[in-house]
Amino acid sequence: MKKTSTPTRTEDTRRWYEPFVPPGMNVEGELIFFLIAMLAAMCYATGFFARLFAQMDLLYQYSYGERTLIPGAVMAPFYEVFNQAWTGYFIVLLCMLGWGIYHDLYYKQDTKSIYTMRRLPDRVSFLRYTWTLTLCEVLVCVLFAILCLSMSYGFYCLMTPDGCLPDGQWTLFWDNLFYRK
Amino acid sequence: MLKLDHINKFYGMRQALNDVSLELPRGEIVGLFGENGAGKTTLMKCIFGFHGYRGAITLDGEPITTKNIAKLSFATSEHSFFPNLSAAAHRDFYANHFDGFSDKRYTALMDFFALPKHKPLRAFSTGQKNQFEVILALSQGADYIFMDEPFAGNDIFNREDFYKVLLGILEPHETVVLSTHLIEEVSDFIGRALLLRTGSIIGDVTTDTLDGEGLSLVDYIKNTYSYRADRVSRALHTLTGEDE
Repeated sequence: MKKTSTPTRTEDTRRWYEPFVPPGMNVEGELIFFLIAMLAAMCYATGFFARLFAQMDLLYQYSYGERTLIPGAVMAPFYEVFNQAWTGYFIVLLCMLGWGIYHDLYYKQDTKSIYTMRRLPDRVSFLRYTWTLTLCEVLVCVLFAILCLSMSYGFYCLMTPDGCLPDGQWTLFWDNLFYRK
Repeated sequence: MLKLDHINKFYGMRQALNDVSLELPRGEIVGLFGENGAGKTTLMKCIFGFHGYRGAITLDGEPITTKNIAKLSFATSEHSFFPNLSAAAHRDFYANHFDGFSDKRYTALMDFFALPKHKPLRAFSTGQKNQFEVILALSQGADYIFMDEPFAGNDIFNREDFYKVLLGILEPHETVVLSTHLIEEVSDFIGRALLLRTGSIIGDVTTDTLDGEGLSLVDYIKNTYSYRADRVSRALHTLTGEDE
């Protein structure tokens, strides 16, 4: 009986995503870059907690070792505490769009495989090979940014003492999204 | 029928194709000849839509779109394969995307050229790369097979054997358009010769007509190009001051 070789786990994984990346392109470098960039963005986002705890501390006064809430104290607005903690994810998003452009340029390196891609009867295949991975990466960035915003607001509301939350948080947030008013 | 009507192509101010009109029925083997820069490659690329152009190119009366482009295949000296993929992976890719892909022809040609199946193409020699490029074009299942200088880097034994194999495997409905400078080598197996000069077609003749007139293809091309037989001696005289 002829012994056939069993694909290794790496080969199996590679075959799975082959229809979604430019043929022959080694995307491991890109995926490692994406992973490291996302970790860096997450680290940057955790700066929110430092600001949250610092602002919470300002709500209290300390007297004879006891911590009491300052009467009438109001927590800093969410947009100030958040301070664009999600910026890292949008920077990663822009970087991955750059990788997407590199996917397109890949067909013109070494050989002109672009001539084969432009002859494919199914035009969607060309877009699928070239942009699917990038689109997924961009979506992950957007999802993480939304998650970052949602979780940050959740923590902001949960950890701010009752009665200290200022009104009109979201209006303030969107008004100050691109520049501080 | 592949039909080109009044094709004009400009690169900036330079006209690369000048009012080119021709018809290519199925079943022909056509040699496309011309000096460097005559427009041979540009003409082929316009047919595939790789370049913009003025005029009309139709296949069986329809413009060339994704619906019928699989009827055309292209083997280029620039190489259109994926350098990191193996021959086997290319076979899978073509089989997935081109309904008419012939595995039988692919396997036979791979065996004929004795090419490795599982080595990345970037590790092939230049001659092997050219051979594989031609294999893909012939195996795609196209009705019109365009080959642009496909034999650069191949030894004469491989070339001569390949011409014989090509004649043997082509179906009656398949047309090959072959751009090459190796006029004498291909003159015995092409049926029609197209001559391009500075973007214009200056000659279009069948080899049967040439045989009837007692002309070889090389003589026909020389006559059509107004080749000056004394250009070598004149150049040498200018350079050395000596008469031959």
